[in-house]
Amino acid sequence: MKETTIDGTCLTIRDVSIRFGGIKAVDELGLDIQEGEIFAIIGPNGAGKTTVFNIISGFYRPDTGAVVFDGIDLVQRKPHEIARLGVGRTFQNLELFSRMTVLENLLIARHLYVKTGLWREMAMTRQVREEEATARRESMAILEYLHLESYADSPIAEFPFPVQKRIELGRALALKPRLLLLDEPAGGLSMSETQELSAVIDAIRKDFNVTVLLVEHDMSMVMQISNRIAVLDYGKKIAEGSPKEIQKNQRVIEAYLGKGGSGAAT
Amino acid sequence: MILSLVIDGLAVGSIYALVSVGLVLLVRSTGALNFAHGDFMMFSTFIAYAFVVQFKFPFWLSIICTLILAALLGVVAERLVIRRLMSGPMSGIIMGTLGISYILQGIAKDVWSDDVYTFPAFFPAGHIRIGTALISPQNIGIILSALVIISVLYLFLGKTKVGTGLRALTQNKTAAMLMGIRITRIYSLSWAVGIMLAAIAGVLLAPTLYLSTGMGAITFTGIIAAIIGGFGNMFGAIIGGYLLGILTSVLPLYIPTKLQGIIPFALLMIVLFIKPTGILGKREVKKV
Amino acid sequence: MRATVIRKWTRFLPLAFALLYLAGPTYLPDYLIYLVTVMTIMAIVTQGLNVMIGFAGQFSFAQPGFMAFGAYFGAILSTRLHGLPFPVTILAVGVASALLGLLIGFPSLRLKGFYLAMATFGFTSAMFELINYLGPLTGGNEGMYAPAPAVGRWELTSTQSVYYIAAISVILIQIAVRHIGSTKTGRAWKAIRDDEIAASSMGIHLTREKLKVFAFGAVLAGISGLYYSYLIRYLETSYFSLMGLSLFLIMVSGGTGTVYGPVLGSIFITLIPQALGGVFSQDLNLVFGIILVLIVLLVPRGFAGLWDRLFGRDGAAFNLRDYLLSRVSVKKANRS
Repeated sequence: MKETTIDGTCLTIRDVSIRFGGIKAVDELGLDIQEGEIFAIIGPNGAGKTTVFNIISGFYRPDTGAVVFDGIDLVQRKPHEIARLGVGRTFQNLELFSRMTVLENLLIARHLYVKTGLWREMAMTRQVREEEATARRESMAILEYLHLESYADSPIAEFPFPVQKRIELGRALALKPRLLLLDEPAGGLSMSETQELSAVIDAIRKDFNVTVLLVEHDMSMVMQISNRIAVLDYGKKIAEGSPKEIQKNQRVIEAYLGKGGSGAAT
Repeated sequence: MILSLVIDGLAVGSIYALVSVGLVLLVRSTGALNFAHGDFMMFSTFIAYAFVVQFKFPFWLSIICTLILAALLGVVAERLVIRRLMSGPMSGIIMGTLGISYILQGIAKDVWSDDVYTFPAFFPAGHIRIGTALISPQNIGIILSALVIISVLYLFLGKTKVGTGLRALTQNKTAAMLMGIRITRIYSLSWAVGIMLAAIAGVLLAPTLYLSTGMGAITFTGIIAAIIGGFGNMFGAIIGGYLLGILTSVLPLYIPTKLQGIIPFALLMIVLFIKPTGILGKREVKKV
Repeated sequence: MRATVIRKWTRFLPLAFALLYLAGPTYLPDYLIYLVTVMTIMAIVTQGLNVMIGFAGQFSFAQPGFMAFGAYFGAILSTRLHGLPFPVTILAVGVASALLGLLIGFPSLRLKGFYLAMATFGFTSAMFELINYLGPLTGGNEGMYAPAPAVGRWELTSTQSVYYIAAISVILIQIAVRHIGSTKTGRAWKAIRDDEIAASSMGIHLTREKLKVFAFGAVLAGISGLYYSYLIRYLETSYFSLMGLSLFLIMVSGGTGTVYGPVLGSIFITLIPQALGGVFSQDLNLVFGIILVLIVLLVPRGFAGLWDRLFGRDGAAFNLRDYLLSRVSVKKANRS
């Protein structure tokens, strides 16, 4: 089901730049993400990381450059089209459907795979009922994988933050994505919760056959599970390589700690 | 000819501005879109009428008593109803204020019935000729009074301790609380001020337009004025009010009579399509 | 314990109610048949509003405008085409309303919440002005006569026939809405309501779904307008222009976003003035206002919400006393 390009590249970002007002938030960024890897984007606060995600998922349009996924340039596309192509994401500030239940949140992601229309739904035909049942089954499977199955029918609002983060992860998985964008998944989590999450993300990559693109501040997670890392500073890529290489990279260290750099590696 | 229309427009605009700025004040401070605002205006004006015509108080005394009662009315509404609805969905507040609207109309109809009343003018009647234009001192009086009131409002908000507290609340509720500002007092205060503004608007309006229990419909015009000027911005509300007033006064020259009723709505649509946040509004962007 | 037993029984309630309701004309006095028909019509148009606002979060005040459109369009159509079978008229009104709904839905793509409400309110006002403007066609300010439902030469002029047409429609609509609530499109609409950005990142086509829901709401409003014209047999814009408020009250008092809210709210709002009319006819405004305020303070989620709370899936043996006590303490908490 997964289309591989000749060289196993999943996503290519080529010369992408975007300006907000007078500031270049992303400056001629180029990245090649390989199939099946976990690729992390790190950098001090304000380096443009979430902006990159918003460009990939279609919420911002870059001024220049291309984002090629599956042979298609995502830059031209709207968010829902990009989701349909197989790109799922989670959000830094959690964008769950707050008035619905956990299961319903996942079912929404199934939207793409349920083939019914309004007329048939109003009549609740046999086909509709079957599609619903299938969607429920598949969503429950994901919830079980994440040990959330007992929460299925409860409203989102009841749950603590770390659980909600897992729910959002489940929802992104329900989309059956080929590329998963995780925006600061460890944000607000304790050390042990982060450890757990790292293990889960690593397992997901194998069990669900996805490529993971990660934006993160938490270095323990990044160093532990990433295959490769790119470092952004003021919108520009200043380093790229394996975790070991990045840790030793002088420019990276300066960006974080020296020269009055803003964010500290947590 | 145009001049007198512009003056008329400024006069009507003054009324709209006062109504509108009161509305926006209530929205900014308590998050409540007060659908009963016009009815508060109506009710206060009837109270003024009672003092002036029925109890035969001197004019200045009537105004003071009306303002006090209007303020009281606002505070009562806020404490009994609005405060309890503030934490819920907007539809609750809307329904609550609609209920208040009915209550005010109901009481007014009971006491003063459906009749139409003439409110005595307090500015000299008649017209002054300036060139080819006929200008009524009534209108000039309205404009000047409104300007005075607006200036007082600005001084209050800008210079007084209480007023600054109110401004703080509208900008950042949590921070205001942390600064030791008693926000519950401010809620009541803002409703007192808001309803007083409505009362003044009503008293200024009443001599020109007949006084009746249906006056409350001005709420919608006030809302439209606020949107045009930039909803959420008190200064914008004032601008919107004057703009609306002038346009509704001057445009009928160029538009067939049948379509005149549409003017406020047409303006609204134009604003909503070109710049929904209004003339002075700021773009709200959601950050993900 | 008690609640779960009651819940078993409540499953049959809608069915029982529907049967009682369909049999209405056999046991109800004439004036009540009329009233219940009005109630049904209001329930239909409010359900459209309920789905648009409660499900999809699209604050539309366009319903009265669509209702007027449906009424006038249907009346003019049946006047020009004598004897057009009423199901065809209903269909025609439905299609025309849907198209108009799509058109009016466009602002929803760029405007949200309050601004959308104002824009749709503007549409409604424009619709009324338009109807008045097209005097020769629509009777303008004086109004026009509306034909009764017909099949060829046969005219169904009795109130009962309109009652049945409306009753069958509302039952079908309720079933449809209940289904919508638990399937893909309904969920997509609710997702749009809760979080548009997340919805589109889940593959939901915002434009398509928003236009769909507008068309849906418009159809319900349009045919309810047509039924209204069948009932009253005379049309004036004032009938519809004052309706916006009632629709809102029906929706909120019944419970926004619930399936049965519009029905419950419609019963409440239509019957209250009747019930009070005898005793309080002078003070109707006042009493109604007080009731509204009480409702919004004590039953914030509407009657359907109250029902859910008492007998809903949480099933805790809730009783009315506890519920009211909890409302009082919420009020106390807000005082801080």
